Amino acid sequence: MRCQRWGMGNSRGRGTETSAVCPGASSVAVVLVLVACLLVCACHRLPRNSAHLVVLVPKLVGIPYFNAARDGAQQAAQQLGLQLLYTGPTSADAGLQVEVLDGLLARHPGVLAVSCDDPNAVTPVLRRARRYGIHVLTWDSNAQPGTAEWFVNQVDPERLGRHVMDVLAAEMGGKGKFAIITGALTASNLNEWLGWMKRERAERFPQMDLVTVVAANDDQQLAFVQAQQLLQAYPDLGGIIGNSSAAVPAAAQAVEQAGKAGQVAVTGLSTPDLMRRYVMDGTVKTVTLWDPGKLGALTVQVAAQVMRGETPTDGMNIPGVGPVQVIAASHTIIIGPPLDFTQANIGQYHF
Amino acid sequence: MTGTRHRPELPQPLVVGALLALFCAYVGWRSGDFWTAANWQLLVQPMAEAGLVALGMTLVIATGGIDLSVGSIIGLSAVAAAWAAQHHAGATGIALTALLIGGGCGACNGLLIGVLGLSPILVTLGTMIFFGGLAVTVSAGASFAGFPDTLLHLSDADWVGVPVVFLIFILVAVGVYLAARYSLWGRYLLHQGQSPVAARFSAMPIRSSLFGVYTVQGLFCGLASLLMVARLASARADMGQALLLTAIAGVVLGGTPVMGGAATVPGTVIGIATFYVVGNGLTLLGVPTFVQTALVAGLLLFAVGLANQLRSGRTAA
Repeated sequence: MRCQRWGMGNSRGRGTETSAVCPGASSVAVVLVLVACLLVCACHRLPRNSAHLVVLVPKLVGIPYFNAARDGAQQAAQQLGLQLLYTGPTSADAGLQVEVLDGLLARHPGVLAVSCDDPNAVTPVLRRARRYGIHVLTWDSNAQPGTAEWFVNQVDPERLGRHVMDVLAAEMGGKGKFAIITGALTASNLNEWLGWMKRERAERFPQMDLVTVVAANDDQQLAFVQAQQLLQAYPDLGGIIGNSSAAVPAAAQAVEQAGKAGQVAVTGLSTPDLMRRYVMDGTVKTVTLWDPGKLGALTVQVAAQVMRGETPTDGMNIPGVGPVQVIAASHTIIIGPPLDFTQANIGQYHF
Repeated sequence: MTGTRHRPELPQPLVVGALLALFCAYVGWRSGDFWTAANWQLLVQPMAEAGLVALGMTLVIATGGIDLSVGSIIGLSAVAAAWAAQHHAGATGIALTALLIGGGCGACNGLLIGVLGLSPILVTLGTMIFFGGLAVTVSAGASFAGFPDTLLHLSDADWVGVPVVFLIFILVAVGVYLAARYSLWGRYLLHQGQSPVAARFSAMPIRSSLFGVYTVQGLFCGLASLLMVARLASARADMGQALLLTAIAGVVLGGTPVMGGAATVPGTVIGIATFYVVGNGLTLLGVPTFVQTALVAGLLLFAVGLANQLRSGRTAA
């Protein structure tokens, strides 16, 4: 009954055969796998000097938004002659992102630029990186304030919120009823944009009437049902703003199915891939976001400046990006105006 | 019932360990950053967390069971620790809260599986969703960051250069090894895994043994959540979710048969180390994460295939 031997003590009562394991075959298999491993690794030559390496870490790899950022970053790195490594976790998990960052720390790159999945969880490892003498930038999503040397932000929340309201007002002729479908009520960035939309309406469009704000928790199906309900509850509704990437296509779908395309204006913040169909068939005239490709390019440009020991200055002109806004007090660099996708330009963007 | 006659065999942990050593040698040759103290100090911290879960999982799997709720228990313990921190409990209070909640969750599993005799996979599937949902509800899905510095220093503390969290992991591993190998409790667990029917009809206290093993797993999850909170300086309901599959894979890679009946604790330590060292080495070599995932999965399949080949010499599988 001694079954606790080290190794496999289990034979589950089956008849045992006496044929010994063939060690030859195992060894051959071991060697084959090892050789395969080495070959795969050998395809990726190591940079000789990591001090000139820029590492760009997204929240997760393999989604169109971050792929677009990667492409922009690679173009910029090529122009500058910089070595760029783009790597990150395969799912949006703060713990996994920190593990990837831990490994990158040991490589001691020149600049580490991170889009933080969870600011709280990523901040300790970024602080450690700075103690090791690595330049730390954040992009797309910031760590806790004061952690990164610079935060490369997509767009100024005030400008974005006001811009979306302006777009809707232009389509509705500056008067009429409209509703807003937002994402989660707890999402701080969405709430900030929402606040600026409301303020823009109050200040500039007194004849426009915001009838209600509903939250769809970034669930496209729920947003679709809510949009249908809005259309029924307010037959004279003139417009819907989708304040999350799932809400805009859902609102467009509901308006199209109700046969109200052209009567009810739909706009908001969403990606070209999600909105292409509705923009092309005319249900939606304009949808707004920013260009993640420019975000990646700007991050690499700022990384190059930081490595050279320069300080970014307000209004500096970045090749391929344009003039950018630098807020020295909050160590933030803003890419510029929001980007509108219309029938004319949506074909150029894929994310 | 169990054959103990001598057969030539190559224990799976040794094979995996040898592969790991070769891999380390190769990465060390390719990258000057691999054999640095800083790299290993960073590397062993997440490894210790997953290792604790895997040690508990080794015992659970040895009984022929499984615990799918570990990720949710870690999340709930971390959220409970955050709650304690918000109510100005000291580091000790926070630690006790996390361990208490972890152990309590484990005891729930143990009660349902051991005492009521329900199926482990169904019970822990249910509690995985339940504990996970509870953690999200209590925390409202938000991340909490206000832990006292005394707790956060746990991740920086070291003893002659070896991180304390790693020492905790090794101490627990030795304890689990001794318990599985020499204690009566360990023997009951293995018998349950080998033949649940025979175990039920024997005089062995199977119910309380099973209750104990799931409670211990819960405690280890609580401890892992504490280490995670210290390392990430924050708590979130979903923070342990990635550890479930890593822990199971580490146990299997180490040579514990997935059907139960045996436990190899040193194998689990080697299996978990393999995952983290290979991941770290590939990151240092600049291998894309998608390729890393595929390579690590390939390693797991290879080890399982090898184990099958080794075992087929002994059992007509």
